[in-house]
Order: sequence, then structure tokens, then C-alpha cells
Amino acid sequence: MHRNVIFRDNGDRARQVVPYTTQEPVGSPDPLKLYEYLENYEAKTNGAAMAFAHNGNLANGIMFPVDAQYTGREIDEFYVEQRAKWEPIYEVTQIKGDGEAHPFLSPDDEFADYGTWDLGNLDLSEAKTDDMLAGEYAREALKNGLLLEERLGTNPYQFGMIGATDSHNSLAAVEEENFFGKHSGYEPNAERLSHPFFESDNGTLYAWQMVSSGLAAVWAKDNTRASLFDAMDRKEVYATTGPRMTVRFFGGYDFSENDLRRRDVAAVGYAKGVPMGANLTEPEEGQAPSFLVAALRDPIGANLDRVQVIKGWLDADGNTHEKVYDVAWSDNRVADASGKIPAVGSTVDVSSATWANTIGAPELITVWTDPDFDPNQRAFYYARVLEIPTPPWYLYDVVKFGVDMPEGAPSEQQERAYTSPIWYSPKG
Amino acid sequence: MIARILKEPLVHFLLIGGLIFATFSVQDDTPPAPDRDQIVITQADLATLSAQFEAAWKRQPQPDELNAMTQELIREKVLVRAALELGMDQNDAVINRRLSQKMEFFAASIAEAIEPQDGELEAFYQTNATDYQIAPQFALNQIYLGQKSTPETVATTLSALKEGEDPTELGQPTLLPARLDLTQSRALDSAFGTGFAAALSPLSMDEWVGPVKSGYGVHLVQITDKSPSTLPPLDQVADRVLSDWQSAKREEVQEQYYQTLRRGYEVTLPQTDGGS
Repeated sequence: MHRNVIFRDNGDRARQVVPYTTQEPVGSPDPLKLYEYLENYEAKTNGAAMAFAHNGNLANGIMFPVDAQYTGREIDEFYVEQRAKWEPIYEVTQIKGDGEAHPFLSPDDEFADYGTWDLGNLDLSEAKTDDMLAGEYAREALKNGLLLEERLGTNPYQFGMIGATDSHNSLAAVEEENFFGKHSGYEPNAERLSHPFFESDNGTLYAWQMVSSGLAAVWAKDNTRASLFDAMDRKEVYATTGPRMTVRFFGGYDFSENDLRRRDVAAVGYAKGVPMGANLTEPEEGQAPSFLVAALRDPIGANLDRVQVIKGWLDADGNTHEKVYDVAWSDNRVADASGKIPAVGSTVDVSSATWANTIGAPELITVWTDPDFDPNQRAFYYARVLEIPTPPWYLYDVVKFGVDMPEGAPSEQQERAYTSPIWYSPKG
Repeated sequence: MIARILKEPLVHFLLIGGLIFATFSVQDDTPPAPDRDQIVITQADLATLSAQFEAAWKRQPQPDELNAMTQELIREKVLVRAALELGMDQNDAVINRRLSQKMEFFAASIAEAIEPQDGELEAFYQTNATDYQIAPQFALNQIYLGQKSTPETVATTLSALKEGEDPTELGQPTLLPARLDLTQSRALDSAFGTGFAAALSPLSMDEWVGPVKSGYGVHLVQITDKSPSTLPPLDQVADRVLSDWQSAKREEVQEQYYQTLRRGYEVTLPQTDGGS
């Protein structure tokens, strides 16, 4: 399991410590030891630091445990407090797979299968089994966090969501038409698609399966290291799989249709509610939370298909649930009898790897009120924004280099953004 | 004139070269008795090892750690010496690159010691003025009319504006900013899509005009302020100019140095008879 460490401070403080490693005896793979190191850093330098994990999807079940810690010890109050304190965000999407949701865990979510890497662990030395998935994917972790909060008083998985490249070449080139690969070995060339990224008796993961993703968006007051760190610490962040979408998400009890006419969504949002990453305030009797969500597409990217709100909650019997609501969509589509919004269609031309913004909408905005709100149930809400279908990065390679489409590779995909959730906890 | 000549890098080389030559010629150049079995680790070597360790680990090495590093150093010295005796430094691309790099660094270090003369920076800044220009900036109000619009919509919106209607009540509500203070072209393009700033250039000030195309669709725009591309005074960009001047100087000196060395060699290329 990997964790990234971010310092709020400059070199004058950060250089006072040696980077922590997982190597025994000085380092350790136990996250609690890393937290100890971070605690020492803050005590020694009066600075601030945080850690965040990535690639839960390759952790074979141990990224978001519910019963046993990494060391095998039972998950206790100390563990959940420490994890909540030091890991405010999670890297939910990157080149080595997308980790928001998995179709096995979310069978009712037709968009759950995006950039799924589920053959095994990182080097495929151990195969994946279905029972591991619950400990790997962000949505399931958000749900299990509610459960652990009920049990131990703190939600260890109350994290914001960011994306990152994890590229080893210092390039943020994760748009489909500029994908520069995981590392220098996968820079654009005619052979890269068919090269095995990882191979073992448990299967082969081909290089075309790299996901051209993602980016971290941060709602900070200033473009300074300290301001960005503080925004990440309060989880006012969102992830995209590459496009530079602008996404706002606020929760409160007073949002109305009139707010949609406003051009200053943020002013209304902060005045009447809380932003992504925060906790809802106490409702008055009979109130249900409403959410102001607005998304603007990448200025040079694809139009938007729809905005969804994903709700997870814990019922009175201690069971977790999830539901995906379509809340705003393009082209005046009408829901079918089952309440489903039909697909937006596709403009992807496979022979030239092109698409057109003749479908979808440049921006979507709405106020959505939870129709199933129960003030006695712990819950979280986050927004997912879907683009219209566009060609995946390997289709650009196919056209550019004149090579064959890899076997089993889809010829289109829908890029997306995931906001950090807004949480609701019953009083008492 | 004399002062000018003394400042020429070429003169520095000749002087340094001469000095090295002179030093070697007065030294006793009978070769010392070959003593290949001797490898001497000095106190200074140990101090260097300790300092390197401390730079990485923020503490002094323990005796066993220092001992391990010393053994590693001895190992390196033994292997290097044996390799040289076997001629392994010959025709090795990595070693060749490193040696030529060291020569380039040597020339660069001399260039770094050269200070600009009076007026030299000013002249450099004037010659390369385009590098220091600030791109044009615009301040504007905008109304978004949607992905597509008709000439009628453009016309009715423009006439509504003429009649004094509130611009924020017109067009489609959007997350795009309705008002922007003076903003650089590049920032405008990254918010509205490539080409938006260029489309603003010909527009006249203060009146609402359109349609103006962006990555999102059609807009009406009112330019409220603009600042043309300007060349900031030298003192505002002095640091950049100095650093650019230094890198230009470095390249110049490296080239002169190379040419000086190059003249000491006669290079023979393979015969080409055009047949093969």
C-alpha cells in the first residue's frame, strides 16, 4: 500500500526530517507508524503534514479495513481517530485504475465500471477475489466509515476525493489526446498498446488498460502552498479523470430554484450551506437536505452528459446502502418508466478518433432535495459529473500509428468528476 | 582597449592554460616510482563521507556505518584503478559523455565569474525585448447566449442593453464570470477556450458588441479596460534579464572554448567516394 505525504511547509521545516519509508527497522508498512512520524514532524517543526493513500483497487482488500488493521489487530478507537486525523483525502482515480466504484459492489450503477483494474494486486502476484473488493473501493469505504463511526465514535473514512496521475515523468498529460503514459517506457509509440504492463500466472494487464487519469481540483482562497494545503485538509477538493471541469457542490436546507438563476453560485452556496467535504448542519423538524450542484465543462473539452448525486447511508439494523440519483442532464431527455434517464448517445467517430459537442451541455446546474431523507440515519452525498462519450487515449494511438485496436478494448468512454462528499450525522 | 582585452574569455583561457603548462614544466617530471599497491584513505576522505551521510540522514554516522562507507570507498578505488589499468575507460559512451560534460562545466564556471559591463544588460534587454513583453490584458463584462445563437437573439439582446437593461438579467445564467478585471490573455484563454483573447483584440472599448465566440458558445462582450502589450522597464525585469544574459554568455564562452580546443586537432573524416 502506498501513501503520499504532503507538507504544508517549505524546505526550511521539511528538511529537518528524513522521509519515512516502509523499510524495517527504521520504517514500517503499518500506517499507525507513519502517523507517528507525522505527529513527530509537527511537534518538532511546528509545521503541518498529511498523508493520503492511492490504488486501493490494487490493495487486495486491505486499504479500507472494517475488522482488522494492517497489523492484524482489531480496529479500535485509536485506529479510527488516527486515520481520520492524518488521512483527510483519498486519491480515487489515477493511471493504474479508477477506484470510485466497482460493478460487483454497485450492481445498480451502470457507470460503475470505469477504468477497472481488478485482476489482482499491483504486480499480479496474488489474484483478486470478490470478497476483497469491499476493502478497496472509495464508495464502499465511505459506507463502511458510517458503520465504524456508529461503532467507535469516529469515521475513519471521512475523506475527500482527488485524482492524480501517479506518472513517473512529472507530466500532467492525462487528457486522452495527450496521454504520455505511466512512465518513460510508455511514451507514445506504435508498440505501447500491446505491451504487457504486468504479467503473471494470474493474468495479463496490457498497457492499453492504463487509464488516462486524473487531476486534483482544489477550492482554495489563494494559489499558495499553505492555502492549497488547508483546502485539502478541509476536503474542499474534487477529482477528475483528466478534463478540467469546474464543479461546485453545496449542501444545506434553504436552496431554491431561484438560486439557479444566480451567476455567483459560490456566493449562494457558502451563504446558505456548506461546501464539499463538510458536514451538514442540524435540520429543523421536517426538513430534508438540498444540494446546489453546478458543473462547467473543460473550456476545450467535451460537453456534459449528466450530474448525479450518490447517496450512501446506514440503516437502523447497521446495514449500509447506496443509491445513484440523476439530478441534472442535457438535451431535455425524459426519464423512462423506471425513472432512468436514457443514454446521451455518442458522436465518437472511431475511424478518426474524434467527437463533437453536438450533444450534451456545456454546463449543468440544479438544486436537488433528498426525497428519501431520514434524520435518524447517518449518510453522505457526493456528486459525479459525466461527460458525453469521447475516444479513449488508445484510440488516438490506433489512428495515429495505424495499429490494430487492442482486443476487448472499448472504443469510447465517459470521463467524469467526483466531488468530495458532504456528510450528515444524526444528533446525539 | 587593454581593459577590454583583459576581459575577453579567450584571453582567460590562454592565461590559465599557460599557467598550467608553466606549473607542470617547473615540476620534477620524473615519474614517481610506481606504487600500485598503495591505496591511502585520508582523514579528509573520512570527513567527506561523514558530511555526505549527515546531509542525507541529519545525524553523524555510527562507527559501523562509517566503517561500511569506508569499505565501500576502498572497493570503489580498487575497482577504478584496476579498470584504468585494463583500459576500461576507453571507448565508453558514458565515460566519454561525463568527461566532455566536465569540460563544458569548466567553461561554464569561468563564464559565471564574468560580470556584465555598464550598459551591457541594457543592450541585451533592448535586443531581446520581445522576451520581456507583457501580453495584452483585458477587463470585460460578458453575457452568455448559449452554445448557439441566432442573429435575432444577438440583435434583441444588444438593443435591450442600449435601452439600459441590467446585463446580469440578460442571456443565459452561467458559471462563467460575468465580469473580469484586467486579465492576461493566457488566463482568458484558459477560462474561455483558446482564441478568446485574440477575438477581443479588435473590439472597441465600452460598448456592448457581439457575437464573440468562445469554447462554450456565443457571447456579447463589453471591454471595460485594456492594456496593450507593453515592455516593462529594465529595473522591473532585471533579475530575468541578468539570468538570460548569463546563460547567453555561458553558451558563448563554451563555444569559444570549444573552438580554441578544436584548433588544436586535425580531424580526419572517412573518404567518401559517392559509390557506397
